[in-house]
Amino acid sequence: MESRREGGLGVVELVPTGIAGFDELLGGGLVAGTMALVEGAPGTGKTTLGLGFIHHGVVARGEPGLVLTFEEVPQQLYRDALNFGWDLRRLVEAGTLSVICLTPDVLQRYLADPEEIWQRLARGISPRRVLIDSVTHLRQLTDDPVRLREILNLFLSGMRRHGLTALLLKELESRGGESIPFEEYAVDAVIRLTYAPQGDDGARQRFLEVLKTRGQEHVPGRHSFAFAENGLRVYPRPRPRPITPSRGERHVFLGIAGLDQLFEGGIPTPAQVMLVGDTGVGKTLSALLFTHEGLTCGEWCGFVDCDEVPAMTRRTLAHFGLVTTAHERLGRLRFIDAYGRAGGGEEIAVHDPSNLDEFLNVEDRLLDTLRARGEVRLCVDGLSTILATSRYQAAIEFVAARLHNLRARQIVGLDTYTAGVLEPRLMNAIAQHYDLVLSMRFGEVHGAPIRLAAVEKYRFGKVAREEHIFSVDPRIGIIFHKAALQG
Amino acid sequence: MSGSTNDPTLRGRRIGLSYESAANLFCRDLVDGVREAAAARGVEVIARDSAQSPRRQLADISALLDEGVDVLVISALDPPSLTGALAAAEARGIPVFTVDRGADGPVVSHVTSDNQMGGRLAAGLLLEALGGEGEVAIVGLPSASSVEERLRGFKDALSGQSAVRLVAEVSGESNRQQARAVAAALLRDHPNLAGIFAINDVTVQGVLGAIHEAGRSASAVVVGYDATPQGCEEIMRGGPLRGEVAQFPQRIGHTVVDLWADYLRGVAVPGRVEIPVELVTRENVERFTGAERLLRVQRGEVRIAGERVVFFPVRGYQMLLNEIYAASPDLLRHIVYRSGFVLGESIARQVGELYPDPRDHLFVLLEDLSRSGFGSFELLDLDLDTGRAEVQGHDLFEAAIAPDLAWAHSPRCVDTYCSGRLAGYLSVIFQRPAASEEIACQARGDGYCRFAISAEAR
Repeated sequence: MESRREGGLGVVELVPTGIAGFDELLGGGLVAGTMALVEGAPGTGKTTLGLGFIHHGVVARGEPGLVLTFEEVPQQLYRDALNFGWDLRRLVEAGTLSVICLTPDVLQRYLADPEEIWQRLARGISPRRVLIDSVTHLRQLTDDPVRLREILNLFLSGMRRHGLTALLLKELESRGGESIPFEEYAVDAVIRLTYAPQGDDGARQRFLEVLKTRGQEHVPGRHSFAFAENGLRVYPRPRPRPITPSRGERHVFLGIAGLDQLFEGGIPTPAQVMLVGDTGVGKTLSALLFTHEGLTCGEWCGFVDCDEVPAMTRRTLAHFGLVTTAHERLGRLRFIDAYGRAGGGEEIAVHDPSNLDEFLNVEDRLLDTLRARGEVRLCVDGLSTILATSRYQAAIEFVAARLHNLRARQIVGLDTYTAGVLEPRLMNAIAQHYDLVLSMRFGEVHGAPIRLAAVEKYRFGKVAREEHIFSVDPRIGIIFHKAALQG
Repeated sequence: MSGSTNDPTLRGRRIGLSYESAANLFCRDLVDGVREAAAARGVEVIARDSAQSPRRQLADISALLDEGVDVLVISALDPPSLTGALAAAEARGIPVFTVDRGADGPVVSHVTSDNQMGGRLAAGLLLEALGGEGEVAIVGLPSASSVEERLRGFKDALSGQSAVRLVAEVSGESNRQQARAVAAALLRDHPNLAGIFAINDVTVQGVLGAIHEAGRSASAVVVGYDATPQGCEEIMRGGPLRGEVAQFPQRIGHTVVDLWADYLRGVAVPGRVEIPVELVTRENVERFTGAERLLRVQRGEVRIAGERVVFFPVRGYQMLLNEIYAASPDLLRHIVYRSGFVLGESIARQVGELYPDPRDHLFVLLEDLSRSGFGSFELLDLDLDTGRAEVQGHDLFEAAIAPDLAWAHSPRCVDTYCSGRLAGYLSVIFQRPAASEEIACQARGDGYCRFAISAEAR
């Protein structure tokens, strides 16, 4: 067990659940001896969460486990667990795990001798962690709510006496009347799993929320989670950080020399830049130049690829003579693959780009790593793609949360949006959150196609707002032409 | 030079000059000498670089004859292959002179260094350094006539010295790496070996490397040949290299033009002229490293080691960049990097013929860059298998002018030209396109400038 000292409360022992991201919400794990209720509708992931907790205890921490199931026979549990690489049968054979399938009748007999119940159930393995799947089945023992509460308390007090840490799974009942089930009062912690519709297209997303923890703090709010290869992975939503005042007059440039000339002396940090443009107009190249500028100036850079895999982006960089191999090797440039296709081979990836919490979480971890080393510049190429399936309010909140965090950490950011992907109302609302908004579009002069760029918004001063003609040379890249478009 | 621009015998005539390789400093000096003497007489020179290819030389000579040159001056790469060409020249009444490397056939005169004297001078210096006794060895190059003459002179001078024993004669194949390997073996097999005669500049560098590696710098002495700037630097440094024999190719160039002028005037010319060589030691080395040896100024043209150069203050370069930036800022980085790249690639190709070993090759290129005033460069890593190299620089000229560059508006890597130059070098060495990233720069406060160069994946 790990220990943690809490202000004024002495040393508190923590039991890490081993579920990626979940322990972060709890400040490191459950307080030892906690009886935690995990409630959720069928199929939300309760059993997987519980088995992950037990497996981690046995395998990673040498803490024997006990699984009491009223629902499934052990063989079914073993088979399901193997999907996540957990060989429970081997642990049972090794004597570090006990899996007991109970019928109500058998349980009734055990309850007749409450003092010995835990030794008998554990069959001599001295468990430290317990999973009960599920307490809902205790209702089969009696219709009397008073007796039911007594039975539950009998379970809980027995476990507490033996210093066990337990997860008690429970089918979530209708919340229409908002009556709170008595189990929530009896336990120390309540964790709720939901599987709710999110996007405009009705796509569902899984969320985990810690409703209660007795004797320890937790990160409130709903946090999305997903089934990963080795169990559940929770994506804690980054907590808003206090914005620290800028440490001086650091100014940065966009890396597009012709455009930078418009901002005499550079753009103050931590500016957040929105670049909106037509498909194929040069947004990605601009994003790459922005990133290359950061590398040239010794910044630590992140590049999030939402519209293609980073391998393609690297090819584009090389094509324009912006090779970054060494910078990547040195960790000065890190790519995040947020394209969402399997097999990208990147070290850092957002597996489900429509999951905004996962996106924020992955991005936040990268920024933690980079920020520890120096000034940071972040570019997200194709953010409109990420937001395309989100609801209006969720998208706004996401953008606000991201930019708040970037500003709080003094990080300069540039996000590209493809024109026409998001609703105009949403685009307008999003633009409100940025300091600098640039537009790039295709136009026509005397029947000839041209590219035009303009500064739509600049929070830090006055800038000429006329459109500038630019071109994209296949070798050189973006070339701004001196003359602005008149009329 | 004995002629002048008023020489009516020669004015308006044309010299066809065919030589070994422009990558060779000796050749560039020789061509320079011919040009100087010709220009003084109002004669045009059509020079052809054979790039060490006998076939190309044959074609060049044929083309020069077709162009109607009045005389051929040839440094013969492969004498037997030129028999037909010389006969054709004779048939057309075109006189042929050879320089440095002679050829059999109807040649009016052959002008070369006095290599036998060079060999004797080298032996004398070695004897002096050894106190007249000890074991010596030769790291040579068989089959080159000029080298044979050097060795003949060297051995003649040693023949009367009973206390000096020539214990070995091996070939360094005019290759730094090979010379280093054979010298290492010599030092291992002959623990009492006290002196080595290295027959040219490349061999000298390899031998010095082996001595240093064997920890024999204090006990072994070396005498070399050619007295290139690099060799002179080693002599000045005071290490095992005690001296070198200097040739004067420019004088060879002057002399051959003088001989041709005499020939046209009907004056009898000797069939062979030997230009004296000179011993370069610690006492007189400064005379050979001074600007007067490398730098030549004539009629508004300045040449360094045979190549025309223009000097202007570094701030002139800064102003040039600022003007490009003002006119089209987005082009600047590309222009600067690419111009470094293409020149680097071109120089690396030329020099590569002389330095088959990639490490030698890059070493020489970086030395050249340092000598040209770009700053000091040091090779940190070269991996030919993965196609990666890392070079560190100090006090690079671009970093020095960064505060005055209009576009370097925040602390940043600014050595774009040097970066391109290195990428050009490594593209030739890796034999596939390479790109350079500057990963540290003094202009942004780092302690050094550092470049990571990587080749395209195969």
